[in-house]
Amino acid sequence: MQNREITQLINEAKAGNDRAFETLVKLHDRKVLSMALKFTGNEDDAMDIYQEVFIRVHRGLATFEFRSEFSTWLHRITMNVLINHKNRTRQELIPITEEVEDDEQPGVKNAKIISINETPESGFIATEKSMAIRIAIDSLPQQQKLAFTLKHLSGHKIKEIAEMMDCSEGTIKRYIFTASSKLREKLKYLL
Amino acid sequence: MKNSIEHTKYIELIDLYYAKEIAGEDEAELMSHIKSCSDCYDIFALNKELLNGLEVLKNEEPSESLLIASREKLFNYTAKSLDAKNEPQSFGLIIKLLKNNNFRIAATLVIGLGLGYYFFAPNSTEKMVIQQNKELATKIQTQGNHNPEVNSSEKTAPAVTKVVDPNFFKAVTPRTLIDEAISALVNENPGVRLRGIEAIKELTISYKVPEVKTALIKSLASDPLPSVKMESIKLLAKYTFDNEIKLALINSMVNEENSAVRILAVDVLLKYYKTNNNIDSDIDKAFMDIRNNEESNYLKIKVTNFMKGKRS
Repeated sequence: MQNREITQLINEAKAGNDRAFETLVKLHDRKVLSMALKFTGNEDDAMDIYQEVFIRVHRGLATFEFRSEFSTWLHRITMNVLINHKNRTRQELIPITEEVEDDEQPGVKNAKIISINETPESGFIATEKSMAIRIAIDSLPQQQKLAFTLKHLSGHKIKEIAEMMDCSEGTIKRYIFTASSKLREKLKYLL
Repeated sequence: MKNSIEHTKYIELIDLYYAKEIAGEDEAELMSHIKSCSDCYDIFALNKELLNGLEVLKNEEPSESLLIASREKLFNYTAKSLDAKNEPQSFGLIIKLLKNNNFRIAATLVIGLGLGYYFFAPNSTEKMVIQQNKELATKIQTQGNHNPEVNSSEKTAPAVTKVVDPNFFKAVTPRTLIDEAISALVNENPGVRLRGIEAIKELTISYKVPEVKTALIKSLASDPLPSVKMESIKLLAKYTFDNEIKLALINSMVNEENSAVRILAVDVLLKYYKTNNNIDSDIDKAFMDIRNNEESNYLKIKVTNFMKGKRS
């Protein structure tokens, strides 16, 4: 869709046309949801972020004055929501264990991580290793986590991340550098 | 590992290398350094392992059902907030008009005539019922038009045919509407089926009609449209929970293809299970099945955590 058509959609949505708003959302929402899913690692939180972002867009549209691209404005809102988001289901990412009987020593119980791999549909945590990485990423400060996931999970360039997060490229590099150091330290037993 | 300034510089370059944001001299300098520095080589190798581990997370993309559910929730919210926003505006207009003397005189005349008509005109209650039914029909007509699963040609198809026939309203009773809604649920047009669901939702009396429950159970088991199945679950949750509903939900939780429908079925079953002191062998068995065979990790974790909580 061309910029002119998007501008028209925005104007119609501003005037209260809910169909125009829905079309505008559908043009951009997959990317927002994908970013949210990569940032949080779970569907419930991703859905919460999606709602929060587009409700803010809906409320703020009346004051949008085309000083920036709509997508830039949307990215800023998304970044703010992501940074302020607290995972409500982080405990669900802790490996779940159950007791299983030892094959070689009957009567002896061992703790075993229930396998939660092979997830063709939702593409959730596929191995215990990636689950540990997800937990380590979640423990990073929000800014570092956001810069790191935008770079290494969403594949954005440092320049793009700097624009989205409204920081200098140097700051973004520092976030990514610190995040990588922390992750290496936390995960060196596993890697 | 020595944390000297020199190492810090190369560690930063390693990060930039894996971020694919390094080229030329810097890259050559890094490569030459890691050949001679075992500490930096270890970090280089460790970063590679870390990024390999990230590959799985990198491929996580939202499922279509998550996207549809997110949109549905958002658009319901924005539609409601739009209605709420419009209300005070109309009140504001009325207040403005009431301040106008000419309007007040005209309004008094109209109200007087209206009251006269109300008290002396025959069958005013019947007309009110007809009007309410017409409004309901309009609402039913538009149901499904926002649903992305319904094709545009299906959106314009007539709803429950008799409901839009003006003569129909003369002899209409809630029961006739319920019968129409039940027959709409088996219509081959998905737009009509969604309208049937909307009609059942509107007619609160339908919760006392056993045929509606049977029709909803049938829709849950066999309708190809996930939205119809999800609405059926929501409506079934309003009935007194019985064995028939329980088995239908268990069947949906175990055999349904769409994960959003399975999740909703689990939610309703968990609610029932908790109110029933966590005792139900059929649900226990089905939850074990979910733990062992479910594809969606969200669902698997949800059920596993619940079972864990129950044990402790």
